[in-house]
Amino acid sequence: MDELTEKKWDRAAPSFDLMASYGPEKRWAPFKRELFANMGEGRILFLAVGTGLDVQFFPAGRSILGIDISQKMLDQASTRVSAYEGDISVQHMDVHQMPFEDGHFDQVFTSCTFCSVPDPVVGLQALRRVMKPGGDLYMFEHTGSRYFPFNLMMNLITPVSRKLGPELNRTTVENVQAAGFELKKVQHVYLDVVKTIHATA
Amino acid sequence: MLVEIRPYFVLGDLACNAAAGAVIGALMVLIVGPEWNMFVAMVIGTVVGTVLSIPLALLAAGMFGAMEVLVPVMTTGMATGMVVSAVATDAVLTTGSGAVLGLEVGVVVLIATYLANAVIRGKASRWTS
Repeated sequence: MDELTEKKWDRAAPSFDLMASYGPEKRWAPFKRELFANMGEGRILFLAVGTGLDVQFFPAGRSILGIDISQKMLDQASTRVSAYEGDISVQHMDVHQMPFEDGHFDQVFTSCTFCSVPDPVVGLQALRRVMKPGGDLYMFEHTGSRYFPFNLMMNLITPVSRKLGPELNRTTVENVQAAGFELKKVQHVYLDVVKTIHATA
Repeated sequence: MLVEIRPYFVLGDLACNAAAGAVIGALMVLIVGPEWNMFVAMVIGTVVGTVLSIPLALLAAGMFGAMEVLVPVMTTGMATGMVVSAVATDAVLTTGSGAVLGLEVGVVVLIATYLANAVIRGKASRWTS
């Protein structure tokens, strides 16, 4: 377990919803609902659960295992998780050290996750290992920007933001490809900063 | 939709950027005076405006969105710091006139960001299969 990352998100857990639960979720709701509508009938891995804000967008009746590196985040998520009308369980786990056998999951979903995974390409490779060949990876992520002045600002603020939470200048689309996934679709939600990504293992 | 059209968020974006511009514009008038070199004032104004915009953006983010608030408000801080500092070296500004100028910069930045969003989302979204 990456203890630095775990402690960072444990510290963030009590106040996380204050920042993230209203404005961002209301703003992103149509895009998240559209992304999570791709959840199918097979085994689904979802990371990172956080305080469970995304659960409201999951279609009912799916079989989902959610993981998160922060137990305190998962504790906050318990009410939202238990309200889900389907088969969902959560586990305290580091994406770098998942115990699942190769090819265990049909689909993997992430939500604002790979701004925080310390080694994103290794993390994505770990996801690919536990996915069936050809399985779907769907991501809702914020990344850096290619455009000035947004790229300059995000590069400047990232050394501070990574101490408290996410990095703001990740190259997640490129990381997905570097991890061996085949990119299917990138949809920009806000500038080239917030986006949905669909790739296959 | 390529740009935000929900009234709650459009008005929220407008309020956040106008307020950030006004606050930073007024503060820059208190920092920069007519005796300053314009280039130095613009550089310092840009840095100070950007730094000041971060807590303002974080205050508003919980209500109106994450990156959708952070990015334009930081851009407003950067632009307001630069513009108001430059003007303050060339004319005697009151804090009120600095605030009005900052507010105007904030609105212009927001409009520019909305246009950039429409262009980037329209151009850069792509299917690869």
